[in-house]
Amino acid sequence: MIGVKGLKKCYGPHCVFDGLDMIFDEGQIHCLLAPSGAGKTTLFNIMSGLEKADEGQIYGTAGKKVAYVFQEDRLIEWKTVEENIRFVVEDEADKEGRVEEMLRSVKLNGYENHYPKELSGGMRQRVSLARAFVYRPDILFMDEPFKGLDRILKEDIIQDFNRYFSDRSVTVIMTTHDISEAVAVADQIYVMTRRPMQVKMAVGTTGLAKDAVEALLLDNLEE
Amino acid sequence: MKRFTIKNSKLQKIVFICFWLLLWEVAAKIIAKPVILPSVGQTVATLFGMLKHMDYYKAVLFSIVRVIAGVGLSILLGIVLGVLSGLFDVVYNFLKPVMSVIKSTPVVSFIILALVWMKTATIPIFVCFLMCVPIIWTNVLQGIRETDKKLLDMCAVYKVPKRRVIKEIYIPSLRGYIYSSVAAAVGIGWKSMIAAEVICKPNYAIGTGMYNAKIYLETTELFALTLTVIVLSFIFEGLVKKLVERKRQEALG
Repeated sequence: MIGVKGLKKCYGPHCVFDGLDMIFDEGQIHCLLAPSGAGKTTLFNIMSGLEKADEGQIYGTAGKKVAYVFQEDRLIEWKTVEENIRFVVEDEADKEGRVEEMLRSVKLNGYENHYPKELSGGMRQRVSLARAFVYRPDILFMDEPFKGLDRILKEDIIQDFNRYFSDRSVTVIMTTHDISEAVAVADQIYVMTRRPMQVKMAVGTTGLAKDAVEALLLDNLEE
Repeated sequence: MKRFTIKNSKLQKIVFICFWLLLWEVAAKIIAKPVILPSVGQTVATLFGMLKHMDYYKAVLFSIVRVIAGVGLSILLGIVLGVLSGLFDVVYNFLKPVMSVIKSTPVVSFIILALVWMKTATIPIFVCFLMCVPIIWTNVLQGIRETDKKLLDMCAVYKVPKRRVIKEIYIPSLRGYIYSSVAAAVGIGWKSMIAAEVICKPNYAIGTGMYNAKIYLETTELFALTLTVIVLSFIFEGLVKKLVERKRQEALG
């Protein structure tokens, strides 16, 4: 079990969250639906170890491989597409086959030797996704990972994404603004409130019709 | 329009250089004592006279070698110390007072102290190194501190080893800072090295020639040697700037 308990983070007098409790089942895909500025990125930064919480606990992450698809692609401009992906697995033995597989998965084969500046925003985001997947993490945080991708490509990648994670025990925690995207990929969906962020509603999607989940979420999603 | 502006600016430069040379020539004519102020013509003629002697070339060559050694050493050590200072506060706090002292101490103080400590032949290299190292250190330090934090966070999440973060993130980010600091260091390097040569008088050195010219009141020779240093410094700075520009263009693709 991975989760946070009594988590508090404030910047000056403004608290992003105060007493936040969340549980994430291992090996499942969790989607956080929240309005902009609710504090999803801060939560991810704290859970991935980039920021410290003021109070509270994070459990279940110790000793696990964590990958993070940031909202911005964070590619290394002086490295090619292939080098950017390989960068996080350079010290691992079986990297070659994995890098090639990832390039194919995100439809970037043929662009191995291109530099990030030669790619469109959507292509850059796909490199960032490939970098996270090739790392073979135990926990994967993704902050609006499909933002900037066109509909057809997004559907393609979501299909690959579902296939990729169906046979691996990776705990995925991602954020999105797009309800249909959440319904398409998530096993668990959390609707979050505006600051201080709290779980307003949690929906397990298994066995439920997509339309029913969407209707449920629409009623509860705070804009 | 643009071409006209460039031509115009080049023309302006030439006109202004001619103006200053003319002013020098007029001042020399008014004073009429080459021992106080030789004319442009006398200086150039003396320089051409020197070009016929092998000792002139030896002096120029040895001075070039010294400046390359001094600046080269300062680049190596400046980069290493700058990177370490940028990464570890303890190294920064340890080195900061030393660098501040070096920056504000007159170059002559170091030359005189070095005369007590070491052989005369190595003093110009040491002084050149000492004057340049804080320039490189400061720039590298700034580069380290301004390295994209988002990339460093990405490396932290993916647990990229520190040695690879230094080699593959910090060092490439530092390139621009290193190039511009080297360009600045070359000019300072020449000035401090010549000052050390004048005081230490090593064998085969432009500075030693300047000292001798002063002793024998050969002001025209002093001017010719100064002109040599200016030309050499210009050439070095020009080469470094060209290299910097080429690297920048390469980086921009």
